[in-house]
Amino acid sequence: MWKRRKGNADGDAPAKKFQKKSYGKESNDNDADTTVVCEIANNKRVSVRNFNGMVLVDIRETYVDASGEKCPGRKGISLTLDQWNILREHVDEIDRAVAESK
Amino acid sequence: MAEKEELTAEQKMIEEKVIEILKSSDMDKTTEAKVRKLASEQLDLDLSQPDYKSFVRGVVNSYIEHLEDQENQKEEQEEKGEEEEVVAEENEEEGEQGQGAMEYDDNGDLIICRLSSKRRVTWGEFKGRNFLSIREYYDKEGKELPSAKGIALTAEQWACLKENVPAIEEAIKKISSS
Repeated sequence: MWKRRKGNADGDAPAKKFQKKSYGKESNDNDADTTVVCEIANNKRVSVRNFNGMVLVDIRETYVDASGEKCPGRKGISLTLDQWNILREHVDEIDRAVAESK
Repeated sequence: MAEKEELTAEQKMIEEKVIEILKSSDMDKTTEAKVRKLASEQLDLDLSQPDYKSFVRGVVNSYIEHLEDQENQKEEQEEKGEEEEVVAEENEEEGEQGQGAMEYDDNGDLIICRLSSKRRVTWGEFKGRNFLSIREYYDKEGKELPSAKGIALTAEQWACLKENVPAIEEAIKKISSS
């Protein structure tokens, strides 16, 4: 009768909120707080946005909505600046891994 | 502590017995009633009487608190250990390029780096093609499994992303200063 409490204190609120929001119309290219930097594939792009004062680098799949506009979809990841910087520091290492398996 | 000093010999005996039983029980399955019953049998005392009952409850509760404290401490230590591990890996990478032991996950994918305790960059095969995966993992029964939160890039898409690193940096600067 005394099941031990299991703490699950790991929340990723910003990304979750964004995912919900991204289904709406407000967060697309026209959003003043979002800069689409590049399209790395037909349906994938990198954007930088300001979320409640926090800068996030978004690598995300896009979908085309009813009006023919590309919108950020559910699949993808929003990196904080710290996480982006770690990724950037590992560019060479990623390149090596890619080259080795080609 | 003051209470403990006033324990009678009988209470001490009950306390010892209850803790002994608790230590040998599966804490996820046993109940206070079961522990009390066992102790009653072994001590040949009817512990279901109100005074005994509340005393046993107190012993059980303080034991559970003690367990939880221990568990919390363990978790903290594990977290610390994890951090140290990551730091050690980074040092290794910086020291000798590519000579450190490569680390692979349960899928056989190469773990290139960790962006946080839950986020990883991996390189591995999926359906016959290689992908760079930037992904969040979750813990299931002690196993770390990839979650839906993340993205998989082909080598070409990665090359494109890499080329755009300066442009991304520029955008970060701009948005940070606005």
